[in-house]
Amino acid sequence: MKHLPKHLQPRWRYLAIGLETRPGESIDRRSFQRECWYAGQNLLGDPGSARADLRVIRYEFDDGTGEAIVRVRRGETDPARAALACIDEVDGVPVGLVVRGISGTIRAAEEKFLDG
Amino acid sequence: MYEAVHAHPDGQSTVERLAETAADYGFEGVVVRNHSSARAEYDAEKIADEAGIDVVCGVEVRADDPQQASGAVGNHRTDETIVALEGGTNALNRFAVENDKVDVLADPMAESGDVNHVLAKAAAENGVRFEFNLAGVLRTHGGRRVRTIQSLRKLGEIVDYYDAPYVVSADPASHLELRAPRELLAVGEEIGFSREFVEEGLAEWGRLAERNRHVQSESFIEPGVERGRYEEEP
Repeated sequence: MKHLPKHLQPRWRYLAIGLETRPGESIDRRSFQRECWYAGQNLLGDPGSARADLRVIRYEFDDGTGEAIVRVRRGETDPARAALACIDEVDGVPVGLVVRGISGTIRAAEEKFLDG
Repeated sequence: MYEAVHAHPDGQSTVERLAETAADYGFEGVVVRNHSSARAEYDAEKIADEAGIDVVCGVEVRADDPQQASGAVGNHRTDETIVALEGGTNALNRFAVENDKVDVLADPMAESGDVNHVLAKAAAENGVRFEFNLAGVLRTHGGRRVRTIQSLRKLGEIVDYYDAPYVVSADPASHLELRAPRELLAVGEEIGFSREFVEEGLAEWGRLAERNRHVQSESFIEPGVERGRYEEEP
């Protein structure tokens, strides 16, 4: 399908996320995405999580720590932040999570807030 | 903004680790509030220097009844900066708010505990802070979380009406359970507390620590009376 004219395209914000767990454990992208959506649904409800989107765009995990970029609709960053804060474990592995920053583009989020 | 944490052996992470993570997340300090039966061994000043944030020694008294609580509060009052009492039954909640030696009534709505206007007035009078414990919002799901949020809202309404003092904490027992201040503000907003309300509650730990340190310092004799410099003979 033809893509939307620019003024109708959704405006996104990208949350740069830092992840941490116990050394030796690892969290895969699929489970993290599932937990994001569950957390959104549980805290914000179906309409709220539909508004927020919460799609994992970039994901990297290595030796107990990881980084991710989560896409959120503009104006929904605070509910999204709240939902993400409620992720306490993924697949039974306890996880620490912090929003390192918010940017308007994936590239800016990576360059400013993540190591690469 | 401060966070009140449980360190090893009460929790799973050491005080160093918690302080380091809290500093990274933008907290100004941590209050170590291990339960009285699981005290941590640590050098607060050294950790504070290394992490670059304030480390406050505290204790959370866990007692079965008011008699036991009374003894424990008395024991800890002289050497801890912040003395909290774990609520959870009506008798303990009542004891805590009527005792000005207690700084914080921790998690008053847990288990069978409840708060009403009588307790709120007493707490306001004695300067005992109610704790808004966000642990149940952050780390439980389903019906239990619904009940936690309901009880927090009830406590919020009462505290707001009587202008009772309060603190807010996510009650982390490990560095993985810590959440940054901005996240806590967002969670608070989602469950019906304004950003300012949560921010005040997180900052209150710091003010409390500062006040108690001043009261426990050598120069303080009693309210309004302090040891100062003597006038020198001309």
